[in-house]
Amino acid sequence: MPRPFAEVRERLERQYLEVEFDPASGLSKEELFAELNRHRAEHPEEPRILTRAWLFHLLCSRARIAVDPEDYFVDQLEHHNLLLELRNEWWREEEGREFANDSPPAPGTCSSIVDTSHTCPNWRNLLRYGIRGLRDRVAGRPGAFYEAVALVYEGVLVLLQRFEAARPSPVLRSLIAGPPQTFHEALQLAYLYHELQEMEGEAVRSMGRFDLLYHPFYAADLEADRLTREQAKELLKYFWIKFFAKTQGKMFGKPFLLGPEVNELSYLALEAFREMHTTEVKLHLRVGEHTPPEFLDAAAECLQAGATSLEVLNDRAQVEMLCQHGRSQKDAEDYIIIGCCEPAVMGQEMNCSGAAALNLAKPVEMVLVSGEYDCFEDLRQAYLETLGAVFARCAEDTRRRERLWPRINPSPLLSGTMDSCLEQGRDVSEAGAKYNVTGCTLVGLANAVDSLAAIRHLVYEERRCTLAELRQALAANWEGYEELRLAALHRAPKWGNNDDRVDQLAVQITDFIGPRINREPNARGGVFHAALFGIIGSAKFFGEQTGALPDGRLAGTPLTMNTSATTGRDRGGVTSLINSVTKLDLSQFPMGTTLDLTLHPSVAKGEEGRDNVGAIIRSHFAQGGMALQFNLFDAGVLREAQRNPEQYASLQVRLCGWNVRFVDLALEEQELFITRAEAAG
Amino acid sequence: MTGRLVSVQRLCVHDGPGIRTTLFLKGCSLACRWCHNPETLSPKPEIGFHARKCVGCGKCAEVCPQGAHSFVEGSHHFDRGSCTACGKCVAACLPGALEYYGREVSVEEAVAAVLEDRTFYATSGGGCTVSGGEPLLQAQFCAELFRALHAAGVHCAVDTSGAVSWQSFETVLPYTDLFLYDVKHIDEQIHREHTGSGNGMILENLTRLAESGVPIEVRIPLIPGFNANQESLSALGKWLSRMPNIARVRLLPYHLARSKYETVGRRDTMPQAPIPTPEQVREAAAVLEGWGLEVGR
Ligand code: SF4
Ligand code: SF4
Repeated sequence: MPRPFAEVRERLERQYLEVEFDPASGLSKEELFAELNRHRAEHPEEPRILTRAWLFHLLCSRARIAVDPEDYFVDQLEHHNLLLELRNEWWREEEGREFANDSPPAPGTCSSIVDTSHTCPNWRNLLRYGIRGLRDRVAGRPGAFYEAVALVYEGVLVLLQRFEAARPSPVLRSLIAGPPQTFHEALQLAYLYHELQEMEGEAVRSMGRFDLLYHPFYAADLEADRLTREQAKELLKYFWIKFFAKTQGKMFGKPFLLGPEVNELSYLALEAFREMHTTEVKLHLRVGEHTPPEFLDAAAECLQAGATSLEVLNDRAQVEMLCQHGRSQKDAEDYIIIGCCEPAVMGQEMNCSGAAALNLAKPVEMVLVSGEYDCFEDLRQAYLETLGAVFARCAEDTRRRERLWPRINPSPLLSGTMDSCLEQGRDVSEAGAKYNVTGCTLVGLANAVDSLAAIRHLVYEERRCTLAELRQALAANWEGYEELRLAALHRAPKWGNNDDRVDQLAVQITDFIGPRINREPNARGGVFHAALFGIIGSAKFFGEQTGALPDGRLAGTPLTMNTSATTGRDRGGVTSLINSVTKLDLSQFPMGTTLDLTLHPSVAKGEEGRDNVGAIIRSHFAQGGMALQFNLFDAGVLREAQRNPEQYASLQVRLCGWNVRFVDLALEEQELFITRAEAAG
Repeated sequence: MTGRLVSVQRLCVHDGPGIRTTLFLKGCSLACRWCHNPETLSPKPEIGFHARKCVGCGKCAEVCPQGAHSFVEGSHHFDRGSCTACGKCVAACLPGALEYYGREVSVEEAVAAVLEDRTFYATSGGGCTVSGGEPLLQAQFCAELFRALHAAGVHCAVDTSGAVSWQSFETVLPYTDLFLYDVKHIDEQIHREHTGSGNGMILENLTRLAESGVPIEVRIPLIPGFNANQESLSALGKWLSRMPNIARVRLLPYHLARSKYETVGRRDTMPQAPIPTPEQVREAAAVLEGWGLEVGR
């Protein structure tokens, strides 16, 4: 019998670090590999989806397993990432062939990948049919696709039976027989499925509408006196800690969605989340007109307690936006967030949000080196044209990659949950999902806006320097131009201060590039969707390839993310930042956008502080904001944490779309947070 | 009509209900030793010098018509006596080491600045607060500002020391929704020693204001070595307990702002005592609650 969560938390956090798989329970890596090679040699012409399904089945039925008698759940399968290895082999092969004779796009302008990692299976179908039911839906249907789906679900059934034999349990017996009947069974199924889909090669980037999907199980258990509220909370904590245990807090946070209609389970989830204080579960809260204020209060209490790994969503605005961009009203209302802040219809969409990324700052550099401009207007126009050209190239590369997808990573397990794939007999990699869009994220908005504003201020208005001099200063990375750099930093106006002249530059950029992206076809019968957020990886990567910028930024430093102002430059504070950001038509960014706010803890303290947080959220929404996430700390505490990391091991900060422990950040990244906190204080 | 402002601060949550924008006005009628806004004391504009940010570029000296900035062996010397606050050096100082306190702004400008955040006032029940300094030294400006804000439905509060003529109160009263009223000590002599003035006018104005029916929040700065003791607080509590219309009393534990004195070239008069502990604040609140007052924290 598992012990109370609080007593065993540390052990649970290490549950995947040193697992002892019983050698008698299955084959070693070498043996599995040998089996795979033999199979491939015997079936040289086999469709790749079937080879993957075969390997999936092999791992489920023959790889080693482990069970932990002190856990509520079983999930340990020693699969050695063989499916990923096979995918990577095909990936190298296909990309190598496709791009053999290409010159890559100009460095630092854009990037594109095959994004198989922003997925949300159809959780409703999983819970409704169970593993056996999903297998039965395709059993006996002809064709490689259906055969593959049947094979992988057959594999999962075998795995469940192996687990049950190793650790007899009514939970597993029930899941072998059919769909889950209890809260415990539903969570067991969700976690195991999650593990297996990631084994297949597609990261699960949404665990679905948690309160909506799991409340019926929870309520039925309570009704039948099978479960108490406290026991449910224990189960939830055992379940959630697994996501941390898996990544040790080094990943993006596993998204769970709550709201907008809330129930007992919504509150239970917030309570468990607040008590656990974990970075690796990320809550997205849909807040709509009918969401009770108590729910927002409970969320604010999480923030007050330092559990800041949550994001609040303007429900009405998100639904309207999705409808504007091709979803039916009913589907739009069923959206979840896939990953950081990308809305997508739950279980019916392959949105590939991470496929393409554009560096908004790079074209500033490009237009500066390439020409002379009589007036700022000409320069601004040249900037937009260059940006458009960069996107055209990026879109073409992305489409070519998308076409490779079916030959790299067919995904029968994921496809098997989706009605549209089953109706059409098509895998998600071949546009089997109902909605197939492709994300293009925009990185460095503040850098681009501030740089254009600085050029206008320094060259065309104040005439502190000529364009040629500015060019020289940037080429020298501002060395020898300290005075000009100070003017760029402190005199040129900056995005995020509700200064209309600067903010209008942001409006012009977003009005230009958003619609341009949204009408561009992808290679899967859908369109691109613009996103106004950037993950830290691309902010760093693009930053390294971007020289000094007119806004005073030094060469090689990270670009700004999301809709944020340049760190420390939003001197007008949180309200002005919100006023600036909400001037943008954010519905032009159907792949999502978010705003990070850094609040001083005194603003959020006590009951009044809780109300203040609620008021900030409501104001942001009232002005058309889409999503908000928070950092709450004062600079002094962060300094202290820098000096004594052991004592502040649990202090969390919000990193673009997810949370990390402050003490795990590199020194320079810590400094950025301290600068932000100082500005907030 | 114009006013003299030191700064506009947004997202203020301690200057009345909800989220507010607070205008800090220049000039004060008292000179409290613990003042944490010494840049607001003088009614005249002045230049703040943040030595930490100075890079020694010498631009200020180049532009100053009075020769007020000089460099002695590389160290920056600022002769305030000859400064006429023309602001030229502030404009020239790129690193932001020099700051102008006492900008003149029109009512229209101030109204526009406040209205930028009106959504936040609406969702939080907040509004605008004038503070300082003593805002009622510029009562006409405050009244016109508030009249315009009232017309736009914005809640208006005055944060006052009370040490101004009753006429100033009358000027703003029609447009004021809340007074944050500082009361520091009940003993005339001690009050004079620590603030430079007696408390007669302050207590008299509060009495009249309380009769007018407008909501009042009394604020007591908690200062060690001045009023942070049982006897002083009890005497204050007793006096306040007889006042009508006092919505609540709030204790403001004193906090340090020593560097600000340096910035404006004033002698640091702040107490040397440690800042009050949460325990001391709780005890102080208990004394006041003993007089039937509601104490907010
Ligand atoms: S202009 Fe500013 S930075 Fe330069 S010497 Fe004067 S005060 Fe210092
Ligand atoms: S404000 Fe004018 S007079 Fe005063 S120091 Fe600066 S430049 Fe000189």
